[in-house]
Amino acid sequence: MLKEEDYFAHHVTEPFRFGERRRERGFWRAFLESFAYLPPFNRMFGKVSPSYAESYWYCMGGLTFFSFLLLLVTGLILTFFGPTWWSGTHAGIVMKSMHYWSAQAFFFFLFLHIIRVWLTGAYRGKRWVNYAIGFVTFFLSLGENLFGLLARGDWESQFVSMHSDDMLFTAPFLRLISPENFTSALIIHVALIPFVLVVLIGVHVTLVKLQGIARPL
Amino acid sequence: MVKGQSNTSETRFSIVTHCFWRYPIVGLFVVAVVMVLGFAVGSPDWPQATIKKVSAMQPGGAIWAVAQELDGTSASYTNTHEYGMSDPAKRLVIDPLKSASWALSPNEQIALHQFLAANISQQTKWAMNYDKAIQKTVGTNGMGGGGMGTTPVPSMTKIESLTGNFGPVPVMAQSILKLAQNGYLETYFQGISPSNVYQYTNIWLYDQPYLLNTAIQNGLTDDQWGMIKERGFFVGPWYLIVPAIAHVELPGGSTGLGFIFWNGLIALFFVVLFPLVPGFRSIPKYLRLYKLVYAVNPVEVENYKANVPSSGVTQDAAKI
Ligand code: HEM
Repeated sequence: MLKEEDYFAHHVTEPFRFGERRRERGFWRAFLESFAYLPPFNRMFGKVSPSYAESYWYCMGGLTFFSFLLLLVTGLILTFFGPTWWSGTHAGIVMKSMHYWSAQAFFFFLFLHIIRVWLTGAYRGKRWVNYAIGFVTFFLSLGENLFGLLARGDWESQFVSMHSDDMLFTAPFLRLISPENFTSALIIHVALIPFVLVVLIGVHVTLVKLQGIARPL
Repeated sequence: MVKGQSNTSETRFSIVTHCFWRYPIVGLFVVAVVMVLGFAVGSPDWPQATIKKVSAMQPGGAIWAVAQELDGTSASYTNTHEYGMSDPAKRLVIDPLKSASWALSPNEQIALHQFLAANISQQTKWAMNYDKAIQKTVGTNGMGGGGMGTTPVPSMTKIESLTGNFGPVPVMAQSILKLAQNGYLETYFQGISPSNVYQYTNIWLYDQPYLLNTAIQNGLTDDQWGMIKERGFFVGPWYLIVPAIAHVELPGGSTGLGFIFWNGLIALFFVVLFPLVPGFRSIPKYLRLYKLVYAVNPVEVENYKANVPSSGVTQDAAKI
Protein backbone atom coordinates (compact mmCIF):
# COMPACT_ATOMS: atom_id res chain seq x y z
CA MET A 1 0.00 0.00 0.00
CA LEU A 2 1.33 3.38 -1.00
CA LYS A 3 2.02 5.68 1.90
CA GLU A 4 0.85 9.26 1.76
CA GLU A 5 4.38 10.65 1.93
CA ASP A 6 5.52 8.53 -1.01
CA TYR A 7 2.61 9.77 -2.98
CA PHE A 8 3.62 13.38 -2.48
CA ALA A 9 7.29 12.67 -2.92
CA HIS A 10 6.44 11.12 -6.24
CA HIS A 11 4.70 14.29 -7.36
CA VAL A 12 7.53 16.53 -6.30
CA THR A 13 9.97 14.75 -8.61
CA GLU A 14 7.71 13.55 -11.37
CA PRO A 15 8.77 14.94 -14.76
CA PHE A 16 6.33 17.04 -16.73
CA ARG A 17 5.01 15.10 -19.69
CA PHE A 18 3.95 17.71 -22.16
CA GLY A 19 2.33 15.38 -24.70
CA GLU A 20 0.25 13.62 -22.09
CA ARG A 21 -0.94 16.89 -20.61
CA ARG A 22 -1.76 18.27 -24.06
CA ARG A 23 -3.96 15.28 -24.82
CA GLU A 24 -5.67 15.69 -21.46
CA ARG A 25 -6.19 19.47 -21.22
CA GLY A 26 -5.25 20.99 -24.60
CA PHE A 27 -2.17 22.78 -25.87
CA TRP A 28 -2.43 26.15 -24.13
CA ARG A 29 -3.13 24.71 -20.74
CA ALA A 30 -0.20 22.31 -21.07
CA PHE A 31 1.99 25.13 -22.36
CA LEU A 32 1.18 27.36 -19.39
CA GLU A 33 1.52 24.54 -16.90
CA SER A 34 4.99 23.81 -18.22
CA PHE A 35 6.22 27.13 -16.79
CA ALA A 36 5.74 25.76 -13.29
CA TYR A 37 8.49 23.25 -14.09
CA LEU A 38 11.04 25.76 -15.37
CA PRO A 39 14.10 26.15 -13.14
CA PRO A 40 13.23 29.61 -11.76
CA PHE A 41 9.83 28.38 -10.65
CA ASN A 42 11.38 25.14 -9.45
CA ARG A 43 8.19 23.06 -9.68
CA MET A 44 6.29 25.85 -8.03
CA PHE A 45 8.85 25.81 -5.23
CA GLY A 46 8.41 22.13 -4.65
CA LYS A 47 4.84 22.70 -3.69
CA VAL A 48 2.15 20.20 -4.48
CA SER A 49 -1.48 21.12 -4.14
CA PRO A 50 -4.87 19.51 -4.54
CA SER A 51 -6.37 19.89 -7.98
CA TYR A 52 -9.54 21.62 -6.77
CA ALA A 53 -7.30 24.60 -5.98
CA GLU A 54 -6.54 25.00 -9.68
CA SER A 55 -9.17 27.73 -10.10
CA TYR A 56 -8.78 31.46 -10.49
CA TRP A 57 -10.25 31.89 -7.02
CA TYR A 58 -7.18 30.31 -5.49
CA CYS A 59 -4.94 32.75 -7.35
CA MET A 60 -6.37 35.75 -5.52
CA GLY A 61 -4.01 35.58 -2.54
CA GLY A 62 -1.04 35.26 -4.87
CA LEU A 63 -2.26 38.15 -6.99
CA THR A 64 -2.66 40.24 -3.84
CA PHE A 65 0.94 39.38 -3.06
CA PHE A 66 1.96 40.24 -6.60
CA SER A 67 0.17 43.60 -6.43
CA PHE A 68 1.97 44.23 -3.15
CA LEU A 69 5.28 43.68 -4.95
CA LEU A 70 4.18 46.19 -7.59
CA LEU A 71 3.35 48.64 -4.80
CA LEU A 72 6.81 48.15 -3.29
CA VAL A 73 8.61 48.67 -6.59
CA THR A 74 6.65 51.73 -7.70
CA GLY A 75 6.74 53.09 -4.14
CA LEU A 76 10.52 52.75 -3.95
CA ILE A 77 10.90 54.66 -7.21
CA LEU A 78 8.61 57.42 -5.90
CA THR A 79 10.59 57.56 -2.66
CA PHE A 80 13.90 57.98 -4.47
CA PHE A 81 12.74 60.80 -6.72
CA GLY A 82 10.56 62.57 -4.18
CA PRO A 83 7.42 64.73 -4.03
CA THR A 84 8.49 67.37 -6.56
CA TRP A 85 9.07 64.65 -9.13
CA TRP A 86 5.88 62.70 -8.59
CA SER A 87 3.59 65.70 -8.72
CA GLY A 88 5.51 67.92 -11.12
CA THR A 89 6.88 65.84 -13.99
CA HIS A 90 5.19 63.68 -16.56
CA ALA A 91 7.21 60.58 -15.68
CA GLY A 92 6.58 61.18 -12.00
CA ILE A 93 2.84 61.49 -12.46
CA VAL A 94 2.74 58.28 -14.51
CA MET A 95 4.72 56.44 -11.81
CA LYS A 96 2.44 57.83 -9.11
CA SER A 97 -0.55 56.68 -11.13
CA MET A 98 0.88 53.19 -11.48
CA HIS A 99 1.33 53.15 -7.71
CA TYR A 100 -2.30 54.22 -7.36
CA TRP A 101 -3.60 51.51 -9.69
CA SER A 102 -1.43 48.88 -8.04
CA ALA A 103 -3.17 49.79 -4.78
CA GLN A 104 -6.53 49.42 -6.51
CA ALA A 105 -5.43 46.00 -7.80
CA PHE A 106 -4.13 45.05 -4.34
CA PHE A 107 -7.47 45.70 -2.65
CA PHE A 108 -9.47 44.26 -5.53
CA PHE A 109 -7.65 40.93 -5.28
CA LEU A 110 -7.61 41.11 -1.50
CA PHE A 111 -11.41 41.38 -1.35
CA LEU A 112 -11.74 38.43 -3.74
CA HIS A 113 -9.20 36.50 -1.64
CA ILE A 114 -11.22 37.11 1.51
CA ILE A 115 -14.41 36.02 -0.27
CA ARG A 116 -12.65 32.87 -1.45
CA VAL A 117 -11.47 32.13 2.09
CA TRP A 118 -15.01 32.57 3.44
CA LEU A 119 -16.75 30.54 0.75
CA THR A 120 -14.40 27.59 1.30
CA GLY A 121 -14.42 27.93 5.08
CA ALA A 122 -10.62 27.99 4.95
CA TYR A 123 -10.40 29.53 8.43
CA ARG A 124 -11.19 26.24 10.14
CA GLY A 125 -8.91 24.55 12.65
CA LYS A 126 -5.29 25.51 12.84
CA ARG A 127 -5.68 27.87 9.86
CA TRP A 128 -7.56 30.33 12.05
CA VAL A 129 -4.27 31.84 13.19
CA ASN A 130 -3.35 32.64 9.61
CA TYR A 131 -6.85 33.94 8.97
CA ALA A 132 -6.40 36.34 11.90
CA ILE A 133 -2.96 37.39 10.64
CA GLY A 134 -4.57 38.02 7.25
CA PHE A 135 -7.14 40.31 8.81
CA VAL A 136 -4.57 42.28 10.77
CA THR A 137 -2.71 42.74 7.48
CA PHE A 138 -5.92 43.93 5.85
CA PHE A 139 -6.68 46.56 8.49
CA LEU A 140 -3.10 47.74 8.48
CA SER A 141 -3.25 48.10 4.68
CA LEU A 142 -6.26 50.38 5.09
CA GLY A 143 -4.19 52.56 7.44
CA GLU A 144 -1.33 52.49 4.96
CA ASN A 145 -3.78 53.75 2.34
CA LEU A 146 -4.78 56.72 4.51
CA PHE A 147 -1.18 57.80 5.05
CA GLY A 148 -0.49 57.40 1.35
CA LEU A 149 -3.32 59.80 0.65
CA LEU A 150 -1.96 62.28 3.20
CA ALA A 151 1.54 62.03 1.72
CA ARG A 152 0.43 62.69 -1.84
CA GLY A 153 0.46 66.46 -1.55
CA ASP A 154 -2.52 67.41 -3.72
CA TRP A 155 -5.86 69.05 -2.88
CA GLU A 156 -7.30 65.85 -1.47
CA SER A 157 -4.38 65.39 0.98
CA GLN A 158 -4.75 69.01 1.98
CA PHE A 159 -8.44 68.67 2.73
CA VAL A 160 -8.33 65.19 4.28
CA SER A 161 -5.44 66.12 6.57
CA MET A 162 -7.59 68.85 8.13
CA HIS A 163 -10.89 67.02 7.91
CA SER A 164 -9.64 63.82 9.57
CA ASP A 165 -7.62 65.66 12.19
CA ASP A 166 -10.47 65.92 14.70
CA MET A 167 -10.95 62.20 14.55
CA LEU A 168 -7.40 60.91 14.36
CA PHE A 169 -5.33 63.31 16.43
CA THR A 170 -7.28 62.44 19.56
CA ALA A 171 -6.72 60.84 22.94
CA PRO A 172 -7.80 57.28 21.92
CA PHE A 173 -4.99 57.31 19.37
CA LEU A 174 -2.65 58.65 22.10
CA ARG A 175 -2.40 61.92 20.18
CA LEU A 176 0.22 60.20 18.06
CA ILE A 177 -1.33 60.37 14.63
CA SER A 178 -1.36 63.93 13.39
CA PRO A 179 -2.59 63.87 9.79
CA GLU A 180 -1.58 67.52 9.68
CA ASN A 181 2.05 66.52 9.82
CA PHE A 182 3.03 65.79 6.21
CA THR A 183 6.55 64.70 7.11
CA SER A 184 5.48 62.13 9.64
CA ALA A 185 2.67 60.93 7.35
CA LEU A 186 5.25 60.36 4.63
CA ILE A 187 7.59 58.46 6.93
CA ILE A 188 4.76 56.35 8.31
CA HIS A 189 3.65 55.56 4.75
CA VAL A 190 7.03 54.74 3.20
CA ALA A 191 8.85 53.16 6.11
CA LEU A 192 6.93 52.24 9.23
CA ILE A 193 3.80 50.49 7.98
CA PRO A 194 5.40 48.86 4.89
CA PHE A 195 7.99 47.27 7.16
CA VAL A 196 5.29 45.71 9.33
CA LEU A 197 3.30 44.71 6.23
CA VAL A 198 6.28 42.92 4.71
CA VAL A 199 6.75 40.95 7.94
CA LEU A 200 3.05 40.09 8.28
CA ILE A 201 2.63 39.08 4.63
CA GLY A 202 5.84 37.03 4.88
CA VAL A 203 4.48 35.15 7.89
CA HIS A 204 1.09 34.69 6.20
CA VAL A 205 2.50 33.22 3.01
CA THR A 206 4.99 31.04 4.91
CA LEU A 207 2.17 29.62 7.01
CA VAL A 208 0.17 28.88 3.85
CA LYS A 209 3.17 26.99 2.51
CA LEU A 210 3.62 25.05 5.75
CA GLN A 211 -0.04 24.25 6.34
CA GLY A 212 -1.04 23.70 2.74
CA ILE A 213 -4.43 24.31 1.22
CA ALA A 214 -7.42 23.60 3.43
CA ARG A 215 -9.48 20.50 2.77
CA PRO A 216 -12.61 20.87 0.70
CA LEU A 217 -15.89 21.51 2.50
CA MET B 1 4.30 1.83 -9.46
CA VAL B 2 1.75 4.57 -9.59
CA LYS B 3 2.66 6.18 -12.88
CA GLY B 4 -0.41 6.65 -15.00
CA GLN B 5 -2.56 6.71 -11.93
CA SER B 6 -0.87 9.71 -10.46
CA ASN B 7 -3.51 12.13 -11.55
CA THR B 8 -6.43 10.14 -10.33
CA SER B 9 -8.00 9.55 -7.01
CA GLU B 10 -11.19 7.93 -5.90
CA THR B 11 -12.01 11.10 -4.07
CA ARG B 12 -12.77 14.53 -5.49
CA PHE B 13 -9.28 15.59 -6.36
CA SER B 14 -5.77 14.59 -7.22
CA ILE B 15 -2.45 16.17 -6.34
CA VAL B 16 -0.70 18.47 -8.79
CA THR B 17 2.63 20.24 -8.89
CA HIS B 18 1.62 22.95 -11.32
CA CYS B 19 -1.40 24.10 -9.34
CA PHE B 20 -0.69 27.77 -9.76
CA TRP B 21 0.11 27.60 -13.45
CA ARG B 22 -2.01 30.68 -14.01
CA TYR B 23 0.26 33.02 -12.10
CA PRO B 24 2.80 33.97 -14.79
CA ILE B 25 0.16 34.77 -17.37
CA VAL B 26 -2.25 36.53 -15.01
CA GLY B 27 0.66 38.41 -13.42
CA LEU B 28 1.72 39.73 -16.83
CA PHE B 29 -1.85 40.78 -17.49
CA VAL B 30 -2.05 42.66 -14.18
CA VAL B 31 1.22 44.51 -14.86
CA ALA B 32 -0.03 45.45 -18.32
CA VAL B 33 -3.34 46.76 -16.98
CA VAL B 34 -1.63 48.75 -14.22
CA MET B 35 0.79 50.30 -16.72
CA VAL B 36 -1.90 51.17 -19.25
CA LEU B 37 -4.09 52.74 -16.57
CA GLY B 38 -1.11 54.62 -15.17
CA PHE B 39 -0.31 56.09 -18.57
CA ALA B 40 -3.76 56.62 -19.99
CA VAL B 41 -6.02 57.30 -17.03
CA GLY B 42 -3.66 58.77 -14.44
CA SER B 43 -4.63 59.20 -10.81
CA PRO B 44 -6.28 61.80 -8.58
CA ASP B 45 -4.21 64.95 -8.80
CA TRP B 46 -6.12 68.13 -8.02
CA PRO B 47 -3.69 70.99 -7.39
CA GLN B 48 -3.40 72.20 -3.80
CA ALA B 49 -5.17 75.37 -2.81
CA THR B 50 -2.78 78.20 -1.96
CA ILE B 51 -3.28 81.09 0.43
CA LYS B 52 -2.56 83.51 -2.41
CA LYS B 53 -5.28 82.15 -4.67
CA VAL B 54 -7.91 81.59 -2.00
CA SER B 55 -7.48 85.05 -0.46
CA ALA B 56 -7.73 86.67 -3.90
CA MET B 57 -10.85 84.66 -4.70
CA GLN B 58 -12.60 85.11 -1.34
CA PRO B 59 -11.09 88.11 0.48
CA GLY B 60 -14.14 88.35 2.75
CA GLY B 61 -13.39 84.88 4.06
CA ALA B 62 -9.88 85.92 5.06
CA ILE B 63 -11.11 89.02 6.89
CA TRP B 64 -13.75 87.05 8.76
CA ALA B 65 -11.19 84.39 9.71
CA VAL B 66 -8.93 87.03 11.30
CA ALA B 67 -11.82 88.20 13.50
CA GLN B 68 -12.47 84.60 14.52
CA GLU B 69 -8.81 83.87 15.27
CA LEU B 70 -8.70 86.92 17.53
CA ASP B 71 -11.94 86.20 19.39
CA GLY B 72 -11.10 82.51 19.77
CA THR B 73 -13.92 80.99 17.73
CA SER B 74 -12.09 79.78 14.62
CA ALA B 75 -11.92 76.11 13.66
CA SER B 76 -8.27 76.13 14.74
CA TYR B 77 -9.31 76.39 18.37
CA THR B 78 -10.27 72.72 18.24
CA ASN B 79 -6.77 72.03 16.93
CA THR B 80 -4.80 73.89 19.57
CA HIS B 81 -3.26 70.59 20.70
CA GLU B 82 -1.55 70.28 17.30
CA TYR B 83 2.20 70.40 17.59
CA GLY B 84 3.37 73.99 17.48
CA MET B 85 -0.11 75.50 17.48
CA SER B 86 -1.10 76.36 21.06
CA ASP B 87 -2.55 79.83 20.36
CA PRO B 88 -4.03 80.33 16.87
CA ALA B 89 -4.40 84.11 17.31
CA LYS B 90 -0.69 84.46 17.98
CA ARG B 91 0.37 81.85 15.46
CA LEU B 92 -1.85 82.87 12.53
CA VAL B 93 -2.34 86.63 13.01
CA ILE B 94 -0.05 88.37 15.51
CA ASP B 95 3.25 86.64 14.72
CA PRO B 96 2.93 86.98 10.92
CA LEU B 97 2.09 90.69 11.32
CA LYS B 98 5.04 91.26 13.65
CA SER B 99 7.39 89.45 11.27
CA ALA B 100 6.24 91.62 8.37
CA SER B 101 6.25 94.96 10.15
CA TRP B 102 8.65 96.28 7.50
CA ALA B 103 5.92 95.74 4.92
CA LEU B 104 3.17 97.47 6.92
CA SER B 105 2.16 101.10 6.44
CA PRO B 106 2.53 103.43 9.48
CA ASN B 107 -1.22 103.22 9.91
CA GLU B 108 -1.10 99.43 10.02
CA GLN B 109 1.81 99.48 12.48
CA ILE B 110 -0.12 101.76 14.81
CA ALA B 111 -3.09 99.38 14.67
CA LEU B 112 -0.91 96.42 15.59
CA HIS B 113 0.67 98.31 18.50
CA GLN B 114 -2.70 99.49 19.74
CA PHE B 115 -3.95 95.92 19.73
CA LEU B 116 -0.88 94.54 21.52
CA ALA B 117 -1.07 97.28 24.17
CA ALA B 118 -4.70 96.46 25.05
CA ASN B 119 -5.59 93.83 27.64
CA ILE B 120 -6.97 90.47 26.60
CA SER B 121 -10.61 91.14 27.36
CA GLN B 122 -10.45 94.37 25.35
CA GLN B 123 -8.79 92.50 22.44
CA THR B 124 -11.43 89.78 22.52
CA LYS B 125 -14.24 92.33 22.72
CA TRP B 126 -13.07 94.20 19.62
CA ALA B 127 -12.67 90.98 17.68
CA MET B 128 -15.99 89.59 18.88
CA ASN B 129 -17.82 92.76 17.83
CA TYR B 130 -16.24 92.61 14.40
CA ASP B 131 -16.94 88.88 14.03
CA LYS B 132 -20.63 89.39 14.98
CA ALA B 133 -20.99 92.34 12.58
CA ILE B 134 -19.59 90.26 9.71
CA GLN B 135 -21.84 87.36 10.64
CA LYS B 136 -24.86 89.69 10.33
CA THR B 137 -23.92 90.51 6.72
CA VAL B 138 -24.17 86.83 5.74
CA GLY B 139 -26.94 85.86 8.15
CA THR B 140 -25.19 82.92 9.78
CA ASN B 141 -23.34 82.44 13.01
CA GLY B 142 -20.12 81.06 11.69
CA MET B 143 -18.70 78.13 9.78
CA GLY B 144 -21.05 75.22 9.35
CA GLY B 145 -19.61 71.82 10.16
CA GLY B 146 -19.21 69.17 7.48
CA GLY B 147 -22.38 68.57 5.51
CA MET B 148 -24.44 71.27 7.21
CA GLY B 149 -24.44 73.24 4.00
CA THR B 150 -21.91 75.68 2.66
CA THR B 151 -20.92 78.81 4.54
CA PRO B 152 -21.68 82.07 2.75
CA VAL B 153 -18.61 84.19 2.06
CA PRO B 154 -19.02 87.77 3.32
CA SER B 155 -18.76 90.40 0.58
CA MET B 156 -15.95 92.95 0.81
CA THR B 157 -18.21 95.92 0.08
CA LYS B 158 -20.43 95.00 3.00
CA ILE B 159 -17.43 94.40 5.29
CA GLU B 160 -15.89 97.76 4.40
CA SER B 161 -19.07 99.65 5.24
CA LEU B 162 -19.33 98.12 8.73
CA THR B 163 -19.06 100.46 11.72
CA GLY B 164 -18.81 99.68 15.42
CA ASN B 165 -16.47 99.28 18.36
CA PHE B 166 -13.93 97.16 16.50
CA GLY B 167 -10.74 98.91 17.64
CA PRO B 168 -7.75 98.16 15.41
CA VAL B 169 -9.09 94.73 14.32
CA PRO B 170 -10.37 95.75 10.83
CA VAL B 171 -7.04 97.34 9.93
CA MET B 172 -5.16 94.26 11.14
CA ALA B 173 -7.46 92.05 9.09
CA GLN B 174 -6.74 94.15 6.00
CA SER B 175 -3.01 93.78 6.67
CA ILE B 176 -3.32 90.00 6.85
CA LEU B 177 -5.35 90.03 3.63
CA LYS B 178 -2.63 92.04 1.93
CA LEU B 179 0.12 89.65 3.13
CA ALA B 180 -2.01 86.70 2.05
CA GLN B 181 -2.68 88.07 -1.42
CA ASN B 182 0.92 89.01 -2.17
CA GLY B 183 2.17 85.55 -1.19
CA TYR B 184 4.10 86.61 1.90
CA LEU B 185 1.93 84.67 4.34
CA GLU B 186 2.46 81.36 2.58
CA THR B 187 6.24 81.82 2.52
CA TYR B 188 6.20 82.88 6.15
CA PHE B 189 4.25 79.75 7.21
CA GLN B 190 6.64 77.53 5.28
CA GLY B 191 9.58 79.29 6.87
CA ILE B 192 8.48 78.76 10.45
CA SER B 193 7.90 75.06 9.81
CA PRO B 194 10.53 74.00 7.29
CA SER B 195 10.18 70.26 7.90
CA ASN B 196 6.44 70.36 7.40
CA VAL B 197 5.80 73.13 4.92
CA TYR B 198 2.08 72.46 4.51
CA GLN B 199 1.06 72.54 8.15
CA TYR B 200 0.18 76.19 8.85
CA THR B 201 -0.97 76.84 5.31
CA ASN B 202 -3.54 74.08 5.62
CA ILE B 203 -4.58 75.15 9.10
CA TRP B 204 -4.98 78.73 7.90
CA LEU B 205 -7.02 77.63 4.88
CA TYR B 206 -9.26 75.41 6.96
CA ASP B 207 -10.29 78.45 9.01
CA GLN B 208 -11.73 80.04 5.86
CA PRO B 209 -15.05 79.01 4.33
CA TYR B 210 -13.28 78.00 1.09
CA LEU B 211 -11.87 74.52 1.80
CA LEU B 212 -14.95 73.06 3.45
CA ASN B 213 -17.33 74.74 0.98
CA THR B 214 -15.45 73.25 -1.94
CA ALA B 215 -15.51 69.84 -0.28
CA ILE B 216 -19.26 70.05 0.34
CA GLN B 217 -19.91 71.12 -3.26
CA ASN B 218 -17.89 68.13 -4.47
CA GLY B 219 -19.56 65.70 -2.08
CA LEU B 220 -16.34 65.05 -0.19
CA THR B 221 -17.14 65.62 3.48
CA ASP B 222 -17.34 62.62 5.78
CA ASP B 223 -21.11 62.37 5.91
CA GLN B 224 -21.25 62.60 2.12
CA TRP B 225 -19.18 59.39 2.02
CA GLY B 226 -16.12 61.47 1.20
CA MET B 227 -13.95 58.76 2.75
CA ILE B 228 -14.38 56.58 -0.32
CA LYS B 229 -14.17 59.36 -2.93
CA GLU B 230 -11.50 61.46 -4.62
CA ARG B 231 -11.83 64.98 -5.95
CA GLY B 232 -12.02 65.00 -9.74
CA PHE B 233 -11.42 61.28 -10.13
CA PHE B 234 -13.88 58.48 -10.72
CA VAL B 235 -12.25 55.77 -8.59
CA GLY B 236 -11.49 56.42 -4.96
CA PRO B 237 -10.61 54.20 -2.02
CA TRP B 238 -13.82 52.14 -2.29
CA TYR B 239 -12.22 49.53 -0.05
CA LEU B 240 -12.66 51.85 2.93
CA ILE B 241 -16.38 51.12 2.75
CA VAL B 242 -16.55 49.28 6.09
CA PRO B 243 -14.84 52.02 8.17
CA ALA B 244 -16.91 54.54 6.19
CA ILE B 245 -20.14 52.84 7.24
CA ALA B 246 -18.94 52.86 10.86
CA HIS B 247 -18.11 56.52 10.48
CA VAL B 248 -21.26 57.73 8.74
CA GLU B 249 -24.06 55.42 9.85
CA LEU B 250 -23.27 54.22 13.37
CA PRO B 251 -23.90 56.39 16.44
CA GLY B 252 -20.80 58.23 17.61
CA GLY B 253 -18.82 56.88 14.66
CA SER B 254 -17.51 60.31 13.78
CA THR B 255 -15.62 60.72 17.06
CA GLY B 256 -12.21 59.16 17.61
CA LEU B 257 -13.45 56.86 20.35
CA GLY B 258 -16.64 55.86 18.52
CA PHE B 259 -14.71 55.15 15.35
CA ILE B 260 -12.29 52.85 17.18
CA PHE B 261 -15.15 51.18 19.03
CA TRP B 262 -17.20 50.33 15.94
CA ASN B 263 -14.25 49.24 13.84
CA GLY B 264 -13.02 47.11 16.72
CA LEU B 265 -16.45 45.49 17.02
CA ILE B 266 -16.58 44.79 13.28
CA ALA B 267 -13.06 43.33 13.38
CA LEU B 268 -14.06 41.17 16.33
CA PHE B 269 -17.00 39.84 14.35
CA PHE B 270 -14.94 38.89 11.32
CA VAL B 271 -11.87 37.60 13.16
CA VAL B 272 -13.48 35.84 16.14
CA LEU B 273 -17.24 35.40 15.93
CA PHE B 274 -17.65 34.36 12.31
CA PRO B 275 -14.83 31.77 12.08
CA LEU B 276 -14.98 30.31 15.61
CA VAL B 277 -18.54 30.24 16.94
CA PRO B 278 -20.34 26.95 16.13
CA GLY B 279 -23.17 27.59 13.72
CA PHE B 280 -21.63 30.79 12.38
CA ARG B 281 -18.52 29.04 11.22
CA SER B 282 -20.53 26.46 9.28
CA ILE B 283 -22.41 29.01 7.19
CA PRO B 284 -20.18 28.46 4.09
CA LYS B 285 -20.78 24.73 4.35
CA TYR B 286 -24.56 25.16 4.13
CA LEU B 287 -24.39 27.93 1.55
CA ARG B 288 -22.63 25.47 -0.77
CA LEU B 289 -21.18 28.37 -2.74
CA TYR B 290 -17.80 26.65 -2.56
CA LYS B 291 -18.99 24.80 -5.63
CA LEU B 292 -18.28 28.00 -7.56
CA VAL B 293 -14.75 28.11 -6.19
CA TYR B 294 -13.37 24.61 -6.60
CA ALA B 295 -11.83 23.65 -9.91
CA VAL B 296 -13.20 20.51 -11.49
CA ASN B 297 -10.72 18.35 -13.35
CA PRO B 298 -12.58 16.61 -16.21
CA VAL B 299 -10.10 13.73 -16.21
CA GLU B 300 -10.80 13.07 -12.56
CA VAL B 301 -14.53 13.15 -13.14
CA GLU B 302 -14.22 10.64 -15.97
CA ASN B 303 -12.02 8.34 -13.95
CA TYR B 304 -14.38 8.60 -11.05
CA LYS B 305 -17.33 7.63 -13.23
CA ALA B 306 -15.40 4.82 -14.88
CA ASN B 307 -14.34 3.65 -11.44
CA VAL B 308 -10.64 3.63 -12.33
CA PRO B 309 -8.66 2.20 -9.41
CA SER B 310 -7.21 4.99 -7.35
CA SER B 311 -3.82 5.53 -5.84
CA GLY B 312 -5.39 5.18 -2.45
CA VAL B 313 -5.12 8.80 -1.39
CA THR B 314 -8.15 10.13 0.37
CA GLN B 315 -9.32 13.63 1.07
CA ASP B 316 -6.88 13.80 3.94
CA ALA B 317 -4.22 14.20 1.31
CA ALA B 318 -4.94 17.89 1.37
CA LYS B 319 -3.24 18.16 4.73
CA ILE B 320 0.03 18.50 2.89
C1 HEM C 1 -1.81 41.27 2.03
C2 HEM C 1 -2.74 40.45 2.09
C3 HEM C 1 -2.71 38.95 1.81
C4 HEM C 1 -1.88 38.21 1.02
C5 HEM C 1 -0.70 38.70 0.18
C6 HEM C 1 -2.33 36.84 1.11
C7 HEM C 1 -1.75 35.78 0.44
C8 HEM C 1 -2.22 34.47 0.49
C9 HEM C 1 -1.84 33.41 -0.39
C10 HEM C 1 -0.84 33.52 -1.54
C11 HEM C 1 -2.53 32.29 -0.02
C12 HEM C 1 -2.50 30.92 -0.73
C13 HEM C 1 -3.86 30.51 -1.27
C14 HEM C 1 -4.56 31.52 -2.12
O1 HEM C 1 -3.89 32.28 -2.80
O2 HEM C 1 -5.80 31.55 -2.10
C15 HEM C 1 -3.31 32.65 1.14
C16 HEM C 1 -4.11 31.77 1.84
C17 HEM C 1 -4.91 32.13 2.89
N1 HEM C 1 -5.23 33.42 3.28
FE1 HEM C 1 -4.31 35.08 2.63
N2 HEM C 1 -3.40 36.78 1.96
C18 HEM C 1 -3.66 38.06 2.40
C19 HEM C 1 -4.69 38.46 3.22
C20 HEM C 1 -5.56 37.59 3.84
C21 HEM C 1 -6.71 38.00 4.60
C22 HEM C 1 -7.19 39.43 4.80
C23 HEM C 1 -7.27 36.87 5.09
C24 HEM C 1 -8.49 36.77 5.97
C25 HEM C 1 -9.66 36.69 5.47
C26 HEM C 1 -6.48 35.74 4.64
C27 HEM C 1 -6.72 34.42 4.96
C28 HEM C 1 -6.11 33.35 4.34
C29 HEM C 1 -6.34 31.96 4.68
C30 HEM C 1 -7.24 31.44 5.80
C31 HEM C 1 -5.58 31.19 3.77
C32 HEM C 1 -5.49 29.67 3.73
C33 HEM C 1 -6.44 29.24 2.64
C34 HEM C 1 -6.57 27.74 2.50
O3 HEM C 1 -5.82 27.00 3.15
O4 HEM C 1 -7.43 27.33 1.69
N3 HEM C 1 -5.46 36.22 3.86
N4 HEM C 1 -3.13 33.98 1.42
